[in-house]
Amino acid sequence: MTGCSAADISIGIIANPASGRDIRRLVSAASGFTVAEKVNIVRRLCLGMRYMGVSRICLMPDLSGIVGSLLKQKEQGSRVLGEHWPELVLLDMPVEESAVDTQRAVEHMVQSGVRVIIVLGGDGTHRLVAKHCGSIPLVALSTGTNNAFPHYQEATVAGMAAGLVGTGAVPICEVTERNKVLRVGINDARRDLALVDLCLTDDRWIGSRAMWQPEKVREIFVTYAQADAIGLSAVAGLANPVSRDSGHGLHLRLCPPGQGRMTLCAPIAPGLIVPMGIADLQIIRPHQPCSLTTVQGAISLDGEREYVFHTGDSLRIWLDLDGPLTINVSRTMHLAAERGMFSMSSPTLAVESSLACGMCSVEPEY
Amino acid sequence: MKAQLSKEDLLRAYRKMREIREFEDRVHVEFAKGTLPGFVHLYSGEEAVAVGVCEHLNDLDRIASTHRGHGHCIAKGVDLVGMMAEIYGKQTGTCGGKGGSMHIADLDKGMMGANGIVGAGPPLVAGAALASKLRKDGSVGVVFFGDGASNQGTNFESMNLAVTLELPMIFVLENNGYAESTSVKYSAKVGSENIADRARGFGMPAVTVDGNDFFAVYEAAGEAIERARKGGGPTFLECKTLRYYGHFEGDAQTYRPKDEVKNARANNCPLKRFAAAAVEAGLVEAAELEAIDKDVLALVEKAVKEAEAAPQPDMSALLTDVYVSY
Repeated sequence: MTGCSAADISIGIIANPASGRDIRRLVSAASGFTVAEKVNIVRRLCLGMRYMGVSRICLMPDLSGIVGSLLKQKEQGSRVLGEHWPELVLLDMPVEESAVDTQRAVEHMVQSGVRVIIVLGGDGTHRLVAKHCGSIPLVALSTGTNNAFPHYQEATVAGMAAGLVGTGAVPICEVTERNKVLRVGINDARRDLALVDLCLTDDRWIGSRAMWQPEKVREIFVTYAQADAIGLSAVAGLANPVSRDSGHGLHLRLCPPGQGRMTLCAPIAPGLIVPMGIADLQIIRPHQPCSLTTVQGAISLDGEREYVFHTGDSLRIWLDLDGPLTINVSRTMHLAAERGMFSMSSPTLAVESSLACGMCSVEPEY
Repeated sequence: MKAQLSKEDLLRAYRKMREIREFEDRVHVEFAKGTLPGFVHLYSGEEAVAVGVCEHLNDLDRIASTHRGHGHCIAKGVDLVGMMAEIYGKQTGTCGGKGGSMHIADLDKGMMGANGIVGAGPPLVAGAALASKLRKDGSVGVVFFGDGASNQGTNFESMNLAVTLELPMIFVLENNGYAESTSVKYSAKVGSENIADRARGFGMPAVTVDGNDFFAVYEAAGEAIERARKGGGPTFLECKTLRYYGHFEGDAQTYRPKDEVKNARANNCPLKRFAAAAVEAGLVEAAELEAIDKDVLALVEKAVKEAEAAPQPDMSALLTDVYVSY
């Protein structure tokens, strides 16, 4: 570790209790994460981080049972299984069971000086965190539906990687990546951002939020577009892939299938592969306002309708390169392994000898 | 499901929600005055759920309700004037004045009845949905029930039956936060207060929506009902909402945070949210909604006056409608 005692190191976890429950479970074959499964994931994160020397975890309080169940698991795990847990600190904040909880929790975490924030949720949850996390790097884990930004990753390993970065064992600069963002302003007020895709739709209300009706989508803007993505960014990804680390994005104007420049079938939700007509597509350069054709409708950010705009509203959309930092878990673990940090004799493992013995079938040599 | 609601659709939905609100607020007043016999449980605050769902239904579709059933009746098209007379226990009531608040039924409208027994609705609608399936008439069954009823064995058995028989049935859970006086955070805790998580375990699609947002309920219910009509089987729809009155009229509500209802009325009222969204989007005029408000107020006043003036049921009707021959 680089000059930090274990007592100094804290990492935040944002586990969105609401993710994985939206209408896409009904209109497509999207899977869902129960609260019980989220608790298991957080438990594995905690154990992975503790193993790498993280002493304290800051948790967003919730009323859905994540934290309550986690505290029970900590007590039982410690008592029955001999697990070694970090200290769990509940943030002192009101809980409104809405997006504002995530915002408040991230602000508290930033103020308290967490080294890393681990996010469990979908693109929408990560978007909320990205708006308030500043330069604190994120470990982005997927528990949502149409996720392009976070990844499915075993939580134990993700926790270890977060611990390696949080303790300074692996330098942040070696394993973090700066993400692009799409910004949107309505009537000259900078209002919000999207991490992956921003869509203009025909909807006149927010409703159930999630976007799943392709015929309503008029324009799609993406920060990046992977051909193996799921969600609305997949339309761009199949038409003209744009890498996550490139310096540009893409803007698509849609039209009915069979018209325009091309029609392709895109997986816009799990199990939902539909034909999408593309009238036009253009590269978006950073800081340059996009030319828009939709005059009224709804703005969907990372798959969820967030705002309604009307004829006469002034809408501005542009790409920025100053999005959140994310930790590459795979690269972190790879570098740490190359540097011998998982050897039981490594000073990186700030674990008690009793823990080390319990975790390893071979008696460690000190 | 309609891609966009027309102006006519929007005004009709608002009228239904306003009718429920005015009706319940007036019943609240009349009960406090002591003019109503029996017991009443009011639906104010939950209007978006009943209307968001029932706007997709026709008279062939059947619903079953709860002890808090006035809103479902109105949303399903039961005559409001007859309902008021029923609550007054008068001969002109929907059920001849012999059912009262908790047993209003109108089979012509597909309203199988409010029900005083918690968790009684799901098996009834499972039967109705089975009938729909056998008749192949494209109709569906919708059961409304609360977070307290979600813990009843009848509900679990019905979910199992609906999945097993692939019934055209929609379980609409009105999670209003309280099973009588017990918070859902305690009463429904099987790994989560999101009760939809449990339904998913039965193998049916289960989603959670903001039950105070008509548009959110409407969209999700539309997909669920369309799916059921096409033979796609049951769906579980959890609508998170809040009731503005106590479990029953006279409930001291000592189990609730002090300003919970006050805040909800100010910031999360389904009618205010509907009006704001529809007017802001330019889909309806504020004046049109105000006209409906006045109209409904007059309708409820008429219902009360007619109920007060109506005769009591005749003694000769005492034993009628008790048993039905098939």
